[in-house]
Amino acid sequence: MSEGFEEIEHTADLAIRAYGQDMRELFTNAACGMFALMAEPSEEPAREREVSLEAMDYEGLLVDWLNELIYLHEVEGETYYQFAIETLSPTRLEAHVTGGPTKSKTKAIKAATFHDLKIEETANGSVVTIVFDV
Amino acid sequence: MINKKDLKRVEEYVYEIPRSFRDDMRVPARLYADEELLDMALKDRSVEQLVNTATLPGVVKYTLAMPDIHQGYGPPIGGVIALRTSDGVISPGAVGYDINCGVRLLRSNILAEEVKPIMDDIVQALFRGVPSGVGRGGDVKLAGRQTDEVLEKGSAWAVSQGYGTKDDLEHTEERGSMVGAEARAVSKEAKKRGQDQLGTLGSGNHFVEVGEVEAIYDQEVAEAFGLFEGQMVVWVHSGSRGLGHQVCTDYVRDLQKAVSKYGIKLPDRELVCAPFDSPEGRDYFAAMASAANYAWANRQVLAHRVRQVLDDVLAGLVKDRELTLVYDVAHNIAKVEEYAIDGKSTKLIIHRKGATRAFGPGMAVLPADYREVGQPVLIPGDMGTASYVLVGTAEAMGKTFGTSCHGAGRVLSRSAAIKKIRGQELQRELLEKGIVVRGGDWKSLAEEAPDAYKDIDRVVNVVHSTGIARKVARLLPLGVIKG
Repeated sequence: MSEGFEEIEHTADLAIRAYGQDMRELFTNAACGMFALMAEPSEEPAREREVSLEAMDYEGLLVDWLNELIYLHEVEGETYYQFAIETLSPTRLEAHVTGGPTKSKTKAIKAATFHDLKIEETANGSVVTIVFDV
Repeated sequence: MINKKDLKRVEEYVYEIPRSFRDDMRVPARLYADEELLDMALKDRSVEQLVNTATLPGVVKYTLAMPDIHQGYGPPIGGVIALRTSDGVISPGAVGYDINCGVRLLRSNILAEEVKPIMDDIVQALFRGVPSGVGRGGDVKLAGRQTDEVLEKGSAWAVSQGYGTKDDLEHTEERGSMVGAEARAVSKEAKKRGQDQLGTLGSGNHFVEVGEVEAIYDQEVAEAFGLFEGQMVVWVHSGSRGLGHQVCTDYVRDLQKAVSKYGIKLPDRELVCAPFDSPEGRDYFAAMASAANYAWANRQVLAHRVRQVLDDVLAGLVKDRELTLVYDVAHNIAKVEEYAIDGKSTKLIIHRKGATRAFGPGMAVLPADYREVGQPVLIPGDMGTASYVLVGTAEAMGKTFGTSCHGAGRVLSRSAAIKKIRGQELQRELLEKGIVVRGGDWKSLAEEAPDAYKDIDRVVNVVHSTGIARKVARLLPLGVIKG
């Protein structure tokens, strides 16, 4: 949990719980948590991508964000480790992500799902559980 | 949490959650299970997910879960939802990300005894010759219009390129080419993901398995399917790869707006849907059918690879090395079919999520050589136990919208399986039982261990006893490559 995310039990698929003091940190930790399950990057050469998304609400944006990263990971053969979220409102996200060519893959994630997805506010910040189809 | 007392036993092995259980249910929900399978289902959220499916607009009769039910996202795995095409919805989340994940079975005139001594060579050769594992591309590269042709023609495209025979098409559900597919409904991102993945197995629970027919329960039907005791067979389990995942992702995202536009209330956002008869619903159906065609073409190319590898590795050992397709079934799909509802023939959009179509005798869509006996229902088990071939029945048409189970069903989570089972030990244990297994990595192998699955004999007993499919043959694994 010190990393801002943890894997939790799900019978058929994979799920993580991500935490964040604010929404930006939550989105960053969710992405870190997902890639921790999926793959390891090579450090060199660094690869950078821009992500720009619109959705109906934070939950929709979070799912889109993770699915966009899954798409880039697959078609570009890259794994990302740094997520600079420049704009984040309930309906819009602009981010600059940094990664490297994928060194090794551990798990193919088909998609981040909306199942049971609810960003909850607690005294310590935000928390969300994300179920991935694997 | 749902308890046993919330379920009413309507006949042996069939339990019902009445409509009164939750205000938002439009129909009851039925679960096919014996006592032990029911207890397993009640341990996680699968039954709650089943209840959620009973809230969808236009749902008829009851929603169903097969005995291999386990927790998914949206509907449970093993779920069946039938909705009117006139005023019901279609849901990408209820079909799932691996559109037309499915399985095909190839038969041979080879005796298992003849190949057992060289099973290690066979498995190594399959592992080399069939691209598998996380994100591994294949050697079929689709360029220009070719992706669209695969999406609109499916298996027929693969056969036109020399991957298999016309007879393969006859013995594939929908002849491997679903009506209604339109490549224009598939995003460029999805097409990009599909460019180099045709003829690849993928990872997770996908596999190629060389097996042996251990026992025949119904001689007449087994003969019609070309199966005999001691025969070597090959299973191929895969789906629509990244292309299908992206189609589902795209439409789960895009249909979020449709839910509010059409005033639909959902208990779980993953059940996102649109009226079947709406621009959004039609687009998803066209895209889903296209991804289903990609999956059929994928299994067609995979089967071709398997045929090439076995022809090569068995040369000099056996003369007749032909592999004939018994059948190919989809187990994640939505299809328009007609059933009697309140005494009136009604067009329905049947969602099968981890469930197999199991049409009974006499259905015109079945190949001529099976029409009298019914559709082969292929039920792969885990890699250490057994698999089954069943046959569809008239009872299934009346009770379960022509549907049966699709496998054993998971019981252990992936992380629990890794904690409990070590890949290397598992490989050794299976070898002691005479099963050669090769996987991409030890962890993935452990996740798919036999102990992570329910007892296939128990699952099949439920479908056989309730008459929604009948046992034809039990098959044993001999050699397995896992993705």
